[in-house]
Amino acid sequence: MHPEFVEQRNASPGRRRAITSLIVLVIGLQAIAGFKLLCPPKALGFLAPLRIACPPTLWPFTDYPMYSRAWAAGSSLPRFRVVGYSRLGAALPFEREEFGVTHRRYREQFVQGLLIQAEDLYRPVLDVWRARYPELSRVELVEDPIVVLEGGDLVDGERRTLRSYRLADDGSLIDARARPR
Amino acid sequence: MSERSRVERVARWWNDYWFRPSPSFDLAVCRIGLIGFELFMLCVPFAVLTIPPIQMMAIHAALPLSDYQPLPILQLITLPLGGDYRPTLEHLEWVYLAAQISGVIALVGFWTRTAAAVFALARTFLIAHMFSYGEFHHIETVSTIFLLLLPFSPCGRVLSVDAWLARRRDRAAGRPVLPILEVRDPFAGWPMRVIRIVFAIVYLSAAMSKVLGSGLDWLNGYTLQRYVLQGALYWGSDVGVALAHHFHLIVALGWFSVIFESTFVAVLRWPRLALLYLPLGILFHVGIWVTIRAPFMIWLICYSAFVPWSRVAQSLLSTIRRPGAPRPTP
Repeated sequence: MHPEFVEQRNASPGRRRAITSLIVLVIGLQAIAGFKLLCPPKALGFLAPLRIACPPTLWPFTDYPMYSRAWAAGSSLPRFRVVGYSRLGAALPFEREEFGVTHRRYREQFVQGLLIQAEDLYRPVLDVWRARYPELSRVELVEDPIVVLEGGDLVDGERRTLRSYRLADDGSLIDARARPR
Repeated sequence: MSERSRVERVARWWNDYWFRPSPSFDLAVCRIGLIGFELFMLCVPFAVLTIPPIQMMAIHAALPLSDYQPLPILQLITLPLGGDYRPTLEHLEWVYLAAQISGVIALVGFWTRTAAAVFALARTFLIAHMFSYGEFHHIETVSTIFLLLLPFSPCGRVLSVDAWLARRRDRAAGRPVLPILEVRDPFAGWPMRVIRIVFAIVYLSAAMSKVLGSGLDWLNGYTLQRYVLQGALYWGSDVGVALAHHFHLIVALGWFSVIFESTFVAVLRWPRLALLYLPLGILFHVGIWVTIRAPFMIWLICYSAFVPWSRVAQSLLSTIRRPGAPRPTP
């Protein structure tokens, strides 16, 4: 062997044994978790006693079932949009990028806030919209699904209005179905 | 062949596979890459994560006790603090700070193994705590395993302050000092080999989940098309939306995913296949990130366990070395 700098004192049998145990432990745990050896499917009822370490019990050792469910043609995907109107019924676009609202903020604050009617979530983004379009008087949250057709074509599904709001003078939103006082 | 000689043969094979002297440089590059990236995520979380750790800690710490279901690894780490221990926000912030400090120290390689151990424990503590409220993710798994292995290896043998000090001492004492790229250690190779096997199992597990769970239906194109579109719409990826409109490409990518994941294990038997599989893996994970924003970038850093960095460095050095010029000491 070329003058490889090998510290033989480090290669003691005791240390090798300890590292060997660690290697076996790590690979063993990953194999058990990865192949679900201690978490067989519920459908196999006779293996139920083996279901003792289902994820995430052994984390960071785990299986990887993400995106494993199969889908067929005809399935539809929900897509949420927020649309606004003036008093005269003209559509007022929500220009996310122009307003400087990130996709995440739009989705997690604005859409979610409108969906659960949480003013603290939707109000900051709504105020940006109102500042650009003072004539904004009505806001709707609609579900605009995409349907996957045979052959992979994507088409718009049937639009459904999930929430409809009127804008109050103080800038808050009032459920359009509620009777005005 | 007698029983004893069979056992000896297996033991010899085992020792040769796991403990043959390997370049310390390779392991040191893995240490720097892995800890460097993790440290970057801790210090500049907005660059990678959607919700920064401090904000996430505050959210979790405010949740009721009934929501807290500690992962066993977190219970193991906090065992000295008692079985009922639940970290407070203040404790989490302290551990976060400890992770940052120990990460810097482990990165530069001062008291390397101790610092790497503190960093690995602190980071695992933070991640495991985050996953102790009913939701867990897979992105951090391989890197966590790799981080937890590093302190058991001579990961600071070169490219570290420890190594620099040791070499200075050796020079002063007149002891021979080897060039960095030639330093080998019987314990420098095993963590990287373990991670290679972990990767093989992980990919095989992913392929098995798809094929055993859904059969060949998974490859019908509609499945991947839906996942791409779902992720792209949710995360706002124009590339993902555009890809979803190319059905034949989607079908091909579905086949590629399953073939790649199920055959990655071949790299263990034929290491040269890494030249094919690593670039494909990089494309695979970058593609996933671009289309559905699943950030498995840390896995690409963990791919460093497959790369013979010392040989790469030797080749680079010999390429840039002028003919006839005196050989520089690396």
